[in-house]
Amino acid sequence: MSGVSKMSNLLRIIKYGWLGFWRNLWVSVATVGIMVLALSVVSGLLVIGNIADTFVKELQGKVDVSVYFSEQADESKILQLQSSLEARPDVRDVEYISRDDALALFKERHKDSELLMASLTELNTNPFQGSLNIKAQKASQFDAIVSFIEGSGSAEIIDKINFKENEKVIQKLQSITSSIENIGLFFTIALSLVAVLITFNTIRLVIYTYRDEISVMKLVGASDWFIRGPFVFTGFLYGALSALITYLAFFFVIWLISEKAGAVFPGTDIFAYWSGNFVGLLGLLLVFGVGLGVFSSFVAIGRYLKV
Amino acid sequence: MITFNSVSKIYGNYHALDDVSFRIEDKEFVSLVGGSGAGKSTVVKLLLKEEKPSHGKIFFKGMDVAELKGGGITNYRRRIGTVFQDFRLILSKNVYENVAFAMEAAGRPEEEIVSDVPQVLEIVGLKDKEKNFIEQLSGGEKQRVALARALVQRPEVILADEPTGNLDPIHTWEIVKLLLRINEFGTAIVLATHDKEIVNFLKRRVITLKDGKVIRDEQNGKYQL
Repeated sequence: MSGVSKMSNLLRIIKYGWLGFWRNLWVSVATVGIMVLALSVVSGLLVIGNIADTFVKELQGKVDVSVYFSEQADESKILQLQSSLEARPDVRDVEYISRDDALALFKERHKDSELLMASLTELNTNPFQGSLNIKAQKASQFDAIVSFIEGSGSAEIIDKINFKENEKVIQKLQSITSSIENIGLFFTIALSLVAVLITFNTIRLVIYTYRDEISVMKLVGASDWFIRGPFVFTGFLYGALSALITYLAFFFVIWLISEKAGAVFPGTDIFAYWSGNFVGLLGLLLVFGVGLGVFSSFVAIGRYLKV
Repeated sequence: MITFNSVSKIYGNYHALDDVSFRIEDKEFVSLVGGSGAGKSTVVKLLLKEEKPSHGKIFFKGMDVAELKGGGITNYRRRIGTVFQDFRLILSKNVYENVAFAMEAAGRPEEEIVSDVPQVLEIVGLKDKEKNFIEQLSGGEKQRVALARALVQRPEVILADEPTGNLDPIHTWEIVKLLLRINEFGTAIVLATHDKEIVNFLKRRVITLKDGKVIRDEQNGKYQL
């Protein structure tokens, strides 16, 4: 077949795919509707995943481990330990609070309490210790960070590390985080599979209604590709339209509920997530929808081509 | 052009065709007659390669039909026009598109399609209904669309399997006349029918089948079982 003929066949395939979509508008509307539902499951999982991720990070950000140094500790050694901690990939942030900073902070916090201020004056010395407040990327990494500090050769300047006091909270958080991740993964896989099966069966049903026409096309000498092409293109249209509708519907719904969701899960902003990742999210839905539409049509028609 | 060489078709224990041999020449008009279950439709199915013979060989222009695969089957079917009792038209396409589809499937250029389809629709008397969908047509009109679709491919032979089976007498004779006209253009016709009146009117070659066997093969034959 010549290049011109191939091009004209391609145009015919697109034309008949397009006509197939419009001439069976109710079938198309029903199929797109079901695909929108399937893609909504995927979109819902993305939004819930974002909420869970932000929420977990927010929780983890609130947990830290403090290392307290003895009064005689050389500040240069503390700063050296701070630098070596900051160089670790599992450490998110290290804040040094010197003895003077700690005193100033205490005074600022309790300036209205005459009793405390009087007691401090009576002591006539700074009773506070210098400390490093360490935040990890993940709660599960604190164990390794504490081991690093204990083995770093700074043992003589360290008075105490409050890891043991925080360990239960950290472990609980770790278990919640890991449960959220596992449940999320399970639901993502299970519901995505359901979405794939629903879409595949819907398109298979649509193509089933055309089985007689497909056998006629075979008998008048149409090649498999010439028959399959328009159905695959219609599958492409189903997928693309479904992805677009799903993205816009979620845009609207998220715009409505974003503020309330932010109040329930502090730190989350799902509207910023959905609108800010326009290209990535719409692209993902298009890849999923179009891929599913094209694949389902391609596979479903196969059995009717054996005439 | 078409040769059946000791062809049998067996479904389980049932012999739909039993050692059938005949030869059809170019431009011939042959009626294939017989009662229900005689094997007429099996001959058509084997010729279209919808089915494979259990034994024997079928040749089309010297080509062994059973050996055809993939694109070879597609090209072979483009050389044969088919008309069925149940029309087998594409309901989602209009009259013009049904006829044009056969040419498009064969990769014919658009200008050829635009020129040939209206001409063929003119021949079958459906020029004014080219935009109609199949459900808007009568039985006779549907069969004329099927004939136009078969004809537009300029086939070497048209296989018509009970083409008048679903038609009233007026439309039946319209189709018979069209088949005769197409045959005059030089296309061979194989007409599978059990309509005695048509066969006797045609006075052409008649191959009679009974219980899957050829019991008679006569030029200027008549319908007799």
